[in-house]
Amino acid sequence: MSATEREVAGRLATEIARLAGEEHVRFMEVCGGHTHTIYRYGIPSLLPENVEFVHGPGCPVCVIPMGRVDDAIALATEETVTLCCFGDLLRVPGGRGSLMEARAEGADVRIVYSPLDALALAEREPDRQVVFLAVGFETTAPATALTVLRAAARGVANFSVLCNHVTIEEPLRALLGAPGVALDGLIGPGHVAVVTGAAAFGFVAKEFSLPIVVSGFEPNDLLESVAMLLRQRHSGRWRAENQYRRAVSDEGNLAAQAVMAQVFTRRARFAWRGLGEIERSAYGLREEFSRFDAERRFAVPGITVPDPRACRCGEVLRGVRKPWQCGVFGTACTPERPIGTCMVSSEGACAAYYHYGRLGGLRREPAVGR
Amino acid sequence: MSTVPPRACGEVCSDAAEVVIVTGLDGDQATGIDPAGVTICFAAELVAPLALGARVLVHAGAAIGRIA
Repeated sequence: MSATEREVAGRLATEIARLAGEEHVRFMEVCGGHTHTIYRYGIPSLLPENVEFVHGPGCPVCVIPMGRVDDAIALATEETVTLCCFGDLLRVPGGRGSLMEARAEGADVRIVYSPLDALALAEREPDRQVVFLAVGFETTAPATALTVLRAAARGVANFSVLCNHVTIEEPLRALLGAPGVALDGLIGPGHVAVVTGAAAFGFVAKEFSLPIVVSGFEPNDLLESVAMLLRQRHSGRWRAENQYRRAVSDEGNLAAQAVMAQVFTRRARFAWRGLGEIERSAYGLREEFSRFDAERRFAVPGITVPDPRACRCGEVLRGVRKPWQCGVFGTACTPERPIGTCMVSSEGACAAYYHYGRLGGLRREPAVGR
Repeated sequence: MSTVPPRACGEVCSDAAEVVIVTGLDGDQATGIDPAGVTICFAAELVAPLALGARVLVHAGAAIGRIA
């Protein structure tokens, strides 16, 4: 951080302290990228103790249920299948181990950095059935849609997608409408909003009477967003504001929205870790692209697995429990040997606390349940 | 298409984009320099038209937005 940025941070921290007053306020950062920044840079240590961050459901790896991981493992162990995924999915535990363990036992599982890489692999290896394990919110879904369109245009017959793409609006509605979730505002996910547009979050203000600010990912972006949330509280008028104007427009990326609409349809319902089944909260492939749908091409078992009883990821994702309030946090569950998904991804709340917690809230909030 | 060479940690997050400066254009494809100084190749049609030197947000091998 430069001297100028430090000066800005100090100014924003002073304004936040003034605006916060004595009242305890709880702001949920929806996106795991924000959680990572908050604890990596020790932002809670800059803020008064009555301003609390609560973690939300915006880490795509964290919300994938164990059964979907088991489905992917079942596919990966088919003799003709090469399963491709992003690296942060490899260690996500399912009910029967992880994809990394499946690979160690001989399954053909490969890391890719783009679904387009998986498509290129399918073209290079026509004797293999290449399946891309697609996970992510609206940030990632356009790249998958683009890849399916390219596969269709090139007539690639040995490529398919195990689609787990999810939406952000429906889980937020489910979360904000649930009993016991007491929030004073939301920090909106910047990268999702690049695609959806900031206006897509207007429902938070209109229907739930809460302020929301779409935020960038630099430390000062988050400080400014907190200040904007507090200014809204003082004004008494809730709206969706956009702090991340350098990247996010009101309407979003219309070309990306168009390819998603062309390729995807909404699933009737989808299971989320910690949130249960939520209607219309995920994408599947449209009928005209069914030949690229791994769930139709293969006998995907559709496994349902309850979350481990000791793991509190579900409550962490709903913002009702902090990572260190889980009995296995940092003991049985570590980034090296994760039990829950929130400890796997670098964006997961548990991993962020584990790596950077001493810079932030852990220093002043006592451990519970350990 | 190769998008990004393997990184030491072997991980890419499923939902984080990074800022890339465009250094080359070839139809729907573009090349650029990511924050780590690595040259990457990415799909550019979702942010077309692009100019050299533009800053874009790239995620999962596709540019999804522009940085003003």
